Formats: sequence, C-alpha cells, structure tokens
Amino acid sequence: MSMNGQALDSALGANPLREGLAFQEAPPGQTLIIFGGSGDLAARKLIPALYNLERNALLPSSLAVVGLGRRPMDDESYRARQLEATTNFSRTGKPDPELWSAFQQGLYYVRADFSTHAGYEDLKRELAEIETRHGTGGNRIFYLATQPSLFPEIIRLLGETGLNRGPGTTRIVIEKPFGRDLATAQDLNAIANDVFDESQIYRIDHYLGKETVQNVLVLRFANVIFEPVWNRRYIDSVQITVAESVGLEGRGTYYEEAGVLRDMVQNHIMQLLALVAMEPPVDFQADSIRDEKVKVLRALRHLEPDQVSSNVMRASYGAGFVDGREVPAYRDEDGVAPDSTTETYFASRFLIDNWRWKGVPFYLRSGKRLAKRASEIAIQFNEVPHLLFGDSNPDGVPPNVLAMRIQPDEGVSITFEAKQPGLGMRVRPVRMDFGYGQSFAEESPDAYERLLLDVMLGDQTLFIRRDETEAAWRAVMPILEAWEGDSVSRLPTYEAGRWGPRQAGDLLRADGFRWRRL
Amino acid sequence: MNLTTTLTDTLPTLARLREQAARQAADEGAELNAQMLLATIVARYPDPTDWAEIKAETQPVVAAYPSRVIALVNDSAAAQSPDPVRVGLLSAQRSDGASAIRGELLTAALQGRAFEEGAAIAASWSASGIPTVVWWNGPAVTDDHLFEDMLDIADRILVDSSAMTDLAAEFTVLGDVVAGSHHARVTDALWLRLLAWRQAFAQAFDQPAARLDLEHVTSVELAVQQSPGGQAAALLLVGWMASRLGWRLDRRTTQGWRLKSDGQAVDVICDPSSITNGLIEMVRLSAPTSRYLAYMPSPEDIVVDCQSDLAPITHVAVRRPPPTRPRLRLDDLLTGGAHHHIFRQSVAIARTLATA
Repeated sequence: MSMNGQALDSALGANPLREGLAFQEAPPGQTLIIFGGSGDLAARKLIPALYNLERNALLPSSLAVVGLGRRPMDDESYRARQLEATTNFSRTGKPDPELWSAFQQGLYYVRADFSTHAGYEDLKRELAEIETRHGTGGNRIFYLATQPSLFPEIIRLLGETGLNRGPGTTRIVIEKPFGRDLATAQDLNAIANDVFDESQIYRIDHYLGKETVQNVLVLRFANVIFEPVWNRRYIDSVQITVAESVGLEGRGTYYEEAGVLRDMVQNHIMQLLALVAMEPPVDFQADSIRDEKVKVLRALRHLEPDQVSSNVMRASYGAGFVDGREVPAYRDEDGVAPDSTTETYFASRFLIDNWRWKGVPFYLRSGKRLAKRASEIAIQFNEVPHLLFGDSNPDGVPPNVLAMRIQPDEGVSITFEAKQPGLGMRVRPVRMDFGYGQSFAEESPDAYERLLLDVMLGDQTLFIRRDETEAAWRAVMPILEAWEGDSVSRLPTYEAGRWGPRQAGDLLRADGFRWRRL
Repeated sequence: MNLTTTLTDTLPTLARLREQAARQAADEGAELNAQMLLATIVARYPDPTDWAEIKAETQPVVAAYPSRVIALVNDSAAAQSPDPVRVGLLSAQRSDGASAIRGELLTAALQGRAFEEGAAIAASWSASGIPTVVWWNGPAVTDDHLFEDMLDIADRILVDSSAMTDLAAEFTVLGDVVAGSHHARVTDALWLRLLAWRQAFAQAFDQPAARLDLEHVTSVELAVQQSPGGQAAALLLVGWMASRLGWRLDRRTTQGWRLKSDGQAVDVICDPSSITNGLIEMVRLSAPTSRYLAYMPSPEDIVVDCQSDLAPITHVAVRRPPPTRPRLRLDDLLTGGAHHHIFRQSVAIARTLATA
C-alpha cells in the first residue's frame, strides 16, 4: 500500500533537520500554478510580487511559475507580457534586465481548459517536466486567480485528477470573495475541504499582508502598556475606517453584484476588528491566532431585522470632484444599472458580547469616492473620571486617542493632554507620533510579497480559516437579509469627494461621538 | 560632517555636532530625524582602518538600525595623534527619498594597552538604556583580555568562526560563551553562512520517505577549503547534523571522526578542497542504499542530488544567501542567533570534535 506524502509525513514525525530553519525566510523549491495566469491579478500583483521577492533573494532558486489561461500564448509571449506588467505595476519600477532575465526562465504559460479533465491531465504532464527541469522538490501551490464563480469547479477537478496530492507539499490559495453570502461561502468551503485538508488551504485577504495590519498584533502583544487598558473599563469606543478615493476602476459589473459590504466590510474590516478585539493568543502559531479571531467574530452581536436601519447606514456616491477632477455618480458609471441600489458607502455600529468589550461600540465605515484614501483604527479612551483643571478648561478635555494608521502615512499616534505653556493651567491635546517611513529606512514589502512567501513557507497565520470566514458572514447576514427585504428604489447619496452622507454622523451622535476627521 | 576630538571630550563634541545638525536642518527647513537610537554597536578593528572605510562599512547597518557605532581601532601610530577620536553623524535616505540622520559614529585610534582596555572606553561612550552589540571584527575568538571585557559589556556579541586560527582553543572559548557562562548572546557569521547548506539538507529530507534514510546514515564526507576556516565550517556543519540526528563522538580517525548513533557508526571524513569562492565544496551523506550529494553549481546556489529508492525527488536546490560581509545587516545578525539552542548544541559538538 502506498502512502501519499502528507500521510507519511505525519507517520514519520517532523523533519529533525528542519527545526529552526522555517524562520529564516528561505522557502523550499516550489511550482506556483496560477489559474487565471493571463489575468489582471497575476499581471498587477502576483508576478511583480514574485519579482520583488527574487530581487531580495527571498525566493528559492528552484522556483517555477506556471500561468494557466485560455488565451493562446507561448512562453516567450507570456514572459514579455509579464515584463511589461511588472514594469508598470511593481513598487520597485522597471526590473533589472539581468535579474529579470534569470527570473523569467522559470515563467511558463500553459493554455488549458479549466473545465475538463483533459486540461488537468495536460497540466500534470507539464508539471512533471517542469519540476524535473527546475528541481522544485515536487512542492506545488495552486493559486486561484480566476473569476470566483470558477473556484468550485477548479477545486473539484483538481481533486478528481489527483492533483490535490502531489509528490511534495500541495497547497491551494483562494482569493476573496469567499462566497457572496453565508450559504455560498459554506458551499465553497465544503468543496474545498472535501478535496483539500484545511492545512493545505490558504484563503487570502491581502489586507492581512499589510505591515501595519500585522503591527496591530505587535503593538498589542509586544508591549505591556496597552493591554491592561485594552478593555471596556478604559475604552469608550473604537472606529475602523477603510476609505477609498477611487471609484470602480473598470470593475463596475463586479461591484454591482458586490457592494462595499461584500467587497470591504465582510473581509477587510472584519479582520481588522478581529485583530483589535481578540484575546491574546497562547502563542504565535496560525491556529492559536485564528482561534482567537473566530471567538471575537462569533461574539459580534447579530442585529435583529428591526435594528438594521438604526445601526447601519448605506449610500451611494453622486457626482462630485475628486482630486480636482469631476467624477460621475455611481449610477452613471460603466457597468452600473441606472436604477442601481448597490451601496458604495457603509457605516455601522457593532457590539461585541464578551467580558472585554461589553457595551463598547465599534463603529465601522468604508466607502468609495470619499475625500481621501485613508485607513485607520482609532481607539478612543474614556474621559478622565474627575477633571481637576475644570476652571481653566470649562469645556473639559478631549479623551486620549490611540490611532493606528494602516495607510497611507503608516504609523501609530497617541493623543494626550499637556499643559499649555503659560501661567494658567490650560490643557491642550498633543500628539506623540510614530511613523513607519521615518523610523525605518526600508520600504515595506507589498502585501502580496509577504503572503506569497508565507504560502511557500507553509505559514497560515495571515490567512483566513474556514470558520473565520463563515463567522464574518454570519455577522453581516442580518444586514444583507434586511436590505434584500427592503424595497428602496434609491439609496441616499453623498457627493463624491466628501466624507460620506451626513446621516452617517447620526449613528455616532446618538452615542455622543463623532467620526474622526482623517 | 565629522570632528576630531580627545578621549575625554568625545560625548560633549558629539552633543555639539548634533546641535549643529539640528540648527542646519532648521535653517534648511528640513526635518531632523529624532528617532531614538536602538543599539550601541562596538566594533573592534584589530588593524589600522581609516574613518572612510569604517563609515562605509557601518553606514548600511545604521541605515537599517539606528545606532551609535563605537569603533575601536588598533593603531600603533595613535600615540602621535593629539586627537585620536573622531565623531560624526551618519545619515541615510528614507523610503520617502529624504535624507535623515540615523546614527552616530565614534572612532578611537588606540595602541597597545589602551586598545586592550578598549572595553572601558566603549562602556563610557555607550548610549544608556539600549542594548550593546559587540562586533568582534577580525581574527576570531581567542582567550584574550579584550574579548573577556567585551563579554561583560555586551548584550550580544557577533563573531566569525571562519576567522579562527586555533580550532580547539577557540571552539572551547566559543562553547563556554554560548553555553551561557556570560550574559552576552552570540551570533556567529559562519553559522549564518552555513544556513544555505543546512537549508539544502533540510529540504532534501522534507520528503517524508527520504527521512527514513536519515536513520541509516553511515558516512558524511566533506570537501572543504584547506584552511582553519574551512575546518571550522566543517566542524560546525557536522556539529549541526550530529545534534539534530543524535550522533555522538566515538573516536578520532585518521581521516576525521567516527560518531555513533544507537550503536551504528557514522564516519565523518574531511577532504581538502581547492575551492576559493566558499569554504565548503561538497557534502555527501551515504546510507547503505542511498546517497545525498550537496554541492554548489554556482556561487548563488546549493543543490542536493538524492539517489535513493525511498526519495521520489532526485534534485532539490536552495538559494545561497549573500555573504554576511560586506553586506552586513545587523538585523540578520541579531536574529541569526534565534533558535539559540540549536547553535549551542552544534558548537558543543564542534568543540568536542575539535578537541578530540
């Protein structure tokens, strides 16, 4: 009876020579197979990220990349196309000719039909040849960068043709969105888990690859001064903002189906919320962290249908000016229905029912065509219980705020009170600021660089587990269901280039807060 | 910007230099990076080395890791200089393109006894409240006075075992230090250079089936540069394998050593090689029905050819990281001591082999 690699691996125990080496960021040989290899994601993100990893000598020399697509193309055309894309989209600009020349030798293009067994049998043959040529050790990563609707069929056929169990390690990367609601997410997870073990599945949300998002964990758990006050006794409210100034960027058809709730809130913002609100994990192992994130997501209070309108605000942008340029209303964008009711702005109040956060409102907002691109997590602390300096400060003093800037101008600032110079006792807020750009001379890697390297190293910490994505969907389902039952013919609008609809402020005003000015 | 000064006036001179830089930045409307220093780096230069060379070597380190660098230079001409100390500020380009001050460089040209007592100077110039990293530059660990003193002031000491000249004596000293007889932790540049070899073998045995071969290894053959550095590399690599696989020294042999694992002999054979672009040319692990040959087809790569009935993969390749020097990166060196117990065990076995 033959045992496959994974079964034998667990029977024999860990490789004694491997201990201590996983942390050296030197992944073993790999073949990365990109479904949708001729598409936008590969060109804009994946290949430039791989090139930059190569530039930093972080890739194994035995790396092969196989782009799979339906368009007819040979290897040379594919390489030329990816060179052009990397020149346009890489954070480091035009590739070094010598380095690119070496890198591109590992790039291949295979024209294949993803929907037939024959296509996968062809792929198998190609892989055997490429793996021998490059000495990849038989380790394979399948990256699903196609339309999400194709994911289930690709996964099923990978299983039916035995490609889910290769000679080395086999992993699969699934891009968001993970379904368009809880039921479809569960269906996708069921298929994926039927064919692959959860340890082989990497659900990617590129937001988690951002340096500043990972810094949330470091700030909380590598410092002793924050955690003791990180709870309902000292924190008044939390605001999480992911604002974009861009519009649809040619993705009108997709966005019409998604809206900001599915596109940003269910994934990016819920992940940020989980990182801010989770309990300390017992260690930095992937499952320890994901266990704690799931607990928080499960503790999110689900809104009753009649609570949705008072806790959630949605809107779509009207015409306006962004960066001095006139932009059309959402309904006038290409690919958008003239009578669309898809939301481009979302604001809500969430509560977390656990000991740490009971009663602390989490205000979430995200939108397109807002005043500027800015993502931030702001922790607002309680006011001092008794103001000693009331005579000189009749309006009171503003509370302390810890703001973690995700992008741009990445960093952390703390606002606190200081005595204003002079003879009186006037108090004024001042800011202590840490900026990534100032403190570290090195440029941060792109999120995809970090995440691709983690997949190669087999580190699932920054990837989303099955129960996490389902818990996040459960939290937003009451909102989606309420909207579906709602017969509005037109959403409130906000002028493009502003901070969203005025009514969004009402959500906070009722609790005595206001949105932070970013 | 740098100034010469005397040993006693060094820190006031440095303060003046900082004020001057702040004023200049203000005049130019530029921003003086007020970033706190993260470490004091004490670098030992056993031979005369000029300011420009030290600056060129330390600037990339400071760019990544804002530090105060104290360079102690052994210079027999130092006595003739009334101002043996030079202080300056080191700047680097930030990711936004602006130039910012990232650190301070203090060099002291010392001779004879003054150089031997250099740790006292380093201690008085170290910035308070941050770790002190000693870069033991040049010939490797010896039982010398300055090394002992440096261990007392260092939180971490960076050494390079490939510069050893007396393997038995120096692995003994290194073994004592890493065993924890001092507060200082050790990072060995040679250990970091061996990373790709360790990675290559680990990758070959990531194949579960091949792992069965590890239990039946009968010999390890190495071809290494005919120098103490090559020998040190061989000892450390064999030390690593032995520590991971539970091999213990049985006896010295004419060609190397015999180790034992559960009663089974593993012969370690060291052959001289004429390799010039590295210390190790090849390593071959043999078992009764298999052979794993690791070698460098190019300066950038190490590959392992696996000939085994058990291993389905016959060829694995690993990227060799760039040499630690001159592209020294302090963060690599600082984190290179991670998994300290593996390094400690490897050094302990290397020491046993060297002194057998």
